[in-house]
Amino acid sequence: MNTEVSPVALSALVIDDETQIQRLLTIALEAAGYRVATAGTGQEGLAMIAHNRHDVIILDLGLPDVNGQLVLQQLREWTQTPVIVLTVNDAEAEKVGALDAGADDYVTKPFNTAELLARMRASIRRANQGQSREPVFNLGDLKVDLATRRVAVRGHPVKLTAKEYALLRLFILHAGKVLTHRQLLQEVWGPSHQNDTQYLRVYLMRLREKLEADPSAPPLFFTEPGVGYRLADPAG
Amino acid sequence: MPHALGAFSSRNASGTVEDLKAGDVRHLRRINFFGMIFMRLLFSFRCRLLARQQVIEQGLRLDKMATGFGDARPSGNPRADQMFVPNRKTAWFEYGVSFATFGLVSLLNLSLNPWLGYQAIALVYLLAVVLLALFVGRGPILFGTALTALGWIFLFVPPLYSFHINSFYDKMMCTMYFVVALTVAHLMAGLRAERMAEQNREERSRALYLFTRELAAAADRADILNRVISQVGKVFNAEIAILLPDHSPRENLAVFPKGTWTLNDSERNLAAQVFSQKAPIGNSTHPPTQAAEVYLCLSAGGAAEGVLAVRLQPPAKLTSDQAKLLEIFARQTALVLERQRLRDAEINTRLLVESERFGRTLLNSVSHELRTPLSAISAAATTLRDSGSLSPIQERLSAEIDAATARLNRVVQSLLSAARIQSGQVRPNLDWCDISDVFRAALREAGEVLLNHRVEKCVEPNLPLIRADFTLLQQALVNLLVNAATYTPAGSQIQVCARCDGTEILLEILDNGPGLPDGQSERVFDLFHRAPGAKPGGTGLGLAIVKGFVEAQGGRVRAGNRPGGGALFSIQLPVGESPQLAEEPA
Repeated sequence: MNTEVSPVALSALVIDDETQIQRLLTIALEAAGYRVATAGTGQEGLAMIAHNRHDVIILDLGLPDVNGQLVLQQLREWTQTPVIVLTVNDAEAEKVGALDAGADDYVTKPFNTAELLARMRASIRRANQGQSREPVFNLGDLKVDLATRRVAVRGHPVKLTAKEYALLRLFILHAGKVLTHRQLLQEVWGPSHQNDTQYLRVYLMRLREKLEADPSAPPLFFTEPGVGYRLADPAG
Repeated sequence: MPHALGAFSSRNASGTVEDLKAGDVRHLRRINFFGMIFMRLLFSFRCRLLARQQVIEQGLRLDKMATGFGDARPSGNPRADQMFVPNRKTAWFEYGVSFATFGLVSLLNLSLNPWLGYQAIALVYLLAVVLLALFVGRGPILFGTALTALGWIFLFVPPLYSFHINSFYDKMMCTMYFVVALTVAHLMAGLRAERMAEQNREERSRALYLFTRELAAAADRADILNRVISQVGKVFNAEIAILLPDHSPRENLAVFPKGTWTLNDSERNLAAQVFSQKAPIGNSTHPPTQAAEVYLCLSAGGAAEGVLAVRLQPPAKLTSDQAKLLEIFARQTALVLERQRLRDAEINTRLLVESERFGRTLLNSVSHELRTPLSAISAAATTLRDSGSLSPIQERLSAEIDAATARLNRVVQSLLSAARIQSGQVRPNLDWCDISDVFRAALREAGEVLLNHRVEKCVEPNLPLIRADFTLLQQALVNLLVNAATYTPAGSQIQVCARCDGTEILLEILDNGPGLPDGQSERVFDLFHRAPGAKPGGTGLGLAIVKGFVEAQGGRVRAGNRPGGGALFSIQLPVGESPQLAEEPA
């Protein structure tokens, strides 16, 4: 109760070699109520993660000393702190690599801080939520009872095949988070199908047909070009 | 005879002219008259060989002083250049020589007859035959032997001026004369043939040696071909043409311009035939096409490198020796050309890799340097606005910064995309794509630009999945949408359509604007092209990027005007095989 009135400031670590970005992110994040620490290199960043607990890490993938993906792999060996990577627009492979290596989300440069803060909030919330969650998931017109496996849109029950439901369930468990093609295919269809994007295309088409019945309503599923898909965040 | 041959062969390897002369004097004291004559003649032949050898050595020395072989060669001896020039006149000339010798010696003998007596005259004839055998071939020498024998019987043996022989002694003399003359003639002819063969061999290996040296010294492909033309031309006294395959397709032959023989159309066809069949055509190996013209495929076992066409001047048939040498020349040329081609390919590959690496590095650093400050501006503007304490004017200014940043970002993005296309670095990542999904993503990204337009979607249901690069295709559509929004008045309608005709998927962006000016439908996709009268703004990159991105994944773009007014841009993408999908049980 006490924490809700005067919340202990969350701590964020910014790992970026550009001092200007460091400065600006410090200003923006402090304005949003975070305690901010900065690191200029991957090694420095890893050392700071090892010594202090952070609630969220912002990692630039274009670090001069180590590949950002390597930093991610190393820190994922001992911590599940949410990581948001900063990347550029036309580097899909880099984004996918980072997400597969354990990043929670990405923001494309030039980013706007509102978007970054939203992603940070969502990541922190998902991390804190852990395994405990409500059995009933509500998003717009969609209502899914994970306990009874019942799916309904605007109160009308919708019949899904086993795979469709498995895919939807995976999205719900990671609502708001980008899931790469590989992650989705591996979870739902198994490791031997992790490159068969055609399954995803077809099943997303079907899920959209069945669940996004109203074209004027905001979409449920977002395509992240070249990367994967994201289910809209019910809290955002 | 054995003496003479021994002297010749033993000194062949290392003797000099002076050595041989000294050696001769010692020998001359011991050997008989015939032997002396042989020695003298062989000596003169040996001198010729040595002289030639010295020319070669001299040539080598000069060559080391960076002089071309052509300069080092003595100019006084044309046969040194043209070793295998056939001479059809030789045979008749030799018969003539035989006859003339007979005539001269007969005259001499007639004048000597009073002093010598007719039996000694036979020895003079014999001497003439033996000497003749050193210079002429087997046929003429037999002819000469017969002539002298008959001449001796007719002119000197009593009864005079008749072929009748009275005494047994004379008959025996006559028979022995025949036997001795024929034996000597035969031996001498063999010796001469051997000498000629050796000379040929030496000349051939020398020609080949010079040829390979020439080729080895060549700097590049054109230099190799020039040297081949001049060398083969000199050695065979022939006009040369070389035909080389075009780079693509390899079946087309182009004539190397520096050739000395200008081929007509039918000759080119012959060359093309040789090239495609990899077999020579010419008067030495196959049924003659036209006398004195040989077409050799330049092949070193692998791919054919070209065709060597040789026309002897004056027209003559190649001897088998010449044909063999020409074939060896052709093979050498092919080897050198092949090596050069492989080396060129390797250099090209290395250059390409280098320039790609350079381009990538440059793109990456430019991208980073431009986007970092853009990120800073964008982050600063949004933070400022979200701080919540802005006056209305500050609020509007911050929105302007945002909009300008977004626009600048699009320009940077376009420049980087165009640079990627120009440097050939667009590598489509082909994967299964749902076209309606691509449309959805494109409309979402172009969202803000399209705020003032009505967008109508007419995407055919159940379009097949196609293999394409999602992000490139999305970017192409975004650019077309931005283009449509830029060149049509606010409030007008933009239609985005997709349909499939079985083999192709057609994506169309249609607007109700002024359409394209006449004759612009082809050029709008050119880099930096701006339609005349286009309103200011825009980089001239957007549509070029559309073309680059679409063509990179095997599609085509088209621009035109709609019959009812307005512009139409379309993207056509091939529909390949449908993807493998294991359906789950319902």
